[in-house]
Amino acid sequence: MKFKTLMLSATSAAAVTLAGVAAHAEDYKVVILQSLTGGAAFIGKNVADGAVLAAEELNEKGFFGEGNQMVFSVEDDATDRTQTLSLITRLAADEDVLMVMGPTSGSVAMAGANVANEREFPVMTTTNSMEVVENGPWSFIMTQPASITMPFIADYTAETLGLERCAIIGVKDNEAYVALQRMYESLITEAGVEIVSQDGVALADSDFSALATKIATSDQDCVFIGTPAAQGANIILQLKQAGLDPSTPILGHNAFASPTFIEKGGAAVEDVYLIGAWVPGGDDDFSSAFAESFEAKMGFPADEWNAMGYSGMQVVAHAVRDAAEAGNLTRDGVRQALGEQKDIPVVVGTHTYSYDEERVPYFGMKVLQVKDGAFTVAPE
Amino acid sequence: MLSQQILNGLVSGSVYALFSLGFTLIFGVQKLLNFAHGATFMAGAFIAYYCTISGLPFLLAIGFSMLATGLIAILIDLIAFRTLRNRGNAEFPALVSSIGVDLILVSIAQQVSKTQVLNFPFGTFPIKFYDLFGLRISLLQIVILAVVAVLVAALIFYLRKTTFGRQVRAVATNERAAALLGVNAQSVYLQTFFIAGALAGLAGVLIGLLFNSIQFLMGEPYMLRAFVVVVIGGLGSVQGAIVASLLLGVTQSLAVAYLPSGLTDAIIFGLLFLVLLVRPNGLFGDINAVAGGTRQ
Repeated sequence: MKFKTLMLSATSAAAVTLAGVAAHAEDYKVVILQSLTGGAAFIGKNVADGAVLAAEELNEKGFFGEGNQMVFSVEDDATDRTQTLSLITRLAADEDVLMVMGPTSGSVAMAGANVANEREFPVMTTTNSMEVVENGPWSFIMTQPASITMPFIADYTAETLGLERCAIIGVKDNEAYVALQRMYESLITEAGVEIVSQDGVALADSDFSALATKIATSDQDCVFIGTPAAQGANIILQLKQAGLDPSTPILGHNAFASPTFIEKGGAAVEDVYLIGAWVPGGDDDFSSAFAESFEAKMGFPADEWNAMGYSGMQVVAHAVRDAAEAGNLTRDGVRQALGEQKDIPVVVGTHTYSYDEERVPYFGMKVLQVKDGAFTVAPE
Repeated sequence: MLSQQILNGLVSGSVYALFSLGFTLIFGVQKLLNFAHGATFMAGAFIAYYCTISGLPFLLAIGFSMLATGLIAILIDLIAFRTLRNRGNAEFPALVSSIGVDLILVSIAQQVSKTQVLNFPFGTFPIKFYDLFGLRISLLQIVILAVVAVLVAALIFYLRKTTFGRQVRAVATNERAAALLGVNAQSVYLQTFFIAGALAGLAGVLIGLLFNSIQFLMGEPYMLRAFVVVVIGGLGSVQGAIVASLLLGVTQSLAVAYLPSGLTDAIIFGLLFLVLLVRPNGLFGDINAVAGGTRQ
């Protein structure tokens, strides 16, 4: 009897202790809202995959403190404004949701920013459009605006390579890509480079035979291609097949910094210049570990957007934890903490991520070149 | 550059023809716009890709892909169209139904490919270029032009000179009358869908190979082009679809080469409106050209 009483007391004590821990454990609810389908799925799905991996790892290593965890779910904005408005409105009505990582890009991100600012609900959109930031204090951008990234490749075009006449091929149906292309055009024109042709392709296009023939038979000393990696590789293949002078330098922006670019382009993309926030395979311990764990989980190597998603989630996690530690775990607390993030370790750029006073993100870039089937830092 | 661009346009146009023939055949026989045709085209490329990387010889992969997309098209008819057709007044519900099938197939392809752009392994088809009369033409382009020409000729022969062709035309003109004469309309529909699906599948493989890109949304721009082709060529007209496809391919090529960027679609649709103004029923006029008469 005495033994039974003792056991009961011990069990009760354990239960009380566990209940105490449970009472103090916090769930930080964040929703990853990205374009898993539709035209921007090439960005959104990859960002979501990176972000999910980051959240899982952070929970696993107890980043939020003992017993605490980030509870996340993944939703699809479907690259559709109506669906985005509906989802953000619904999520804003759920008081447990602290913030949204998304939506992805273009008019969808802008629509998301509108409703987020109306509802005072923090969103970190994937886009690099400053319009989202200017829309109000509740909407953030995850990627660096073109004014930060494009000078790296524009300076390389005009000053390092000393090129004078460029043909430009861009994407015509994605605002983020258009912004990057416009910025590049503006910067190289200011630097005295003549733009001999400008052509736009749609994200779903694959027939570039006419465009390739046009450029291969034109007079230019460089070709800039501002498209996603696989499409860019395909354009370069078709340019080479159309007879483009093999010595003509080809340049691209950070979307090319993906293993897909080399895999799809093969020998045709050798010597191409690009900028990259992500060096495939990683270039320090943190990024190399990410590359390894991502490939182990997904079965294919990480690209720039996977790395951005992973990095963006690091920033979100730090903001949530800072707000919790400051005793202000509210949407406003998370918003303030997000805007104050400085030097957060990430796997992209120069490996630290910061927002400035205007909530503009900075994490740096590198000029890369494809050499022997791998990305290497381009010669200065 | 002009002759090279015309050649590029003819190659692209010949694949549009392969794609549009199935689309126009279904419209000619059933008066239904099959929005899932683009997804069938995409499925053809996907199936051939996965067969190829699984080690199947490329020619067998093409054959398997055509068979599979033919069967997918039959399945689409059975699931999305047959019930609606039996109820009558199926045009609008069938259109919505085919959009649904398209979305399902595209979603499956997206999941299967994990949203990645796929491409046939290097060396799947020999990369050889020839200089003929100042034109740069690849072996693949020559093969595509030849294959499309043979298939189009075979299809026209099949539709015009065989019992099946007569049955197709009979059903297209008046299903009830054809049934009274002993024609099994359901069988005609199934065969029509199979042919349309197989042609779309082959077009998908050829496009995937020619332009080194296979992705889940690849059918969408071709669907848009197919609408233009069937309207310019004349709804339901096989000959019209072929001529309009080649015209579209060449126009597109020349627009990209000689006009400011971004005007290509405007030119193509401008051409569409121009043709409709001059010939409201399209270049090959008759509203029911497959059947050679008006459906009743």
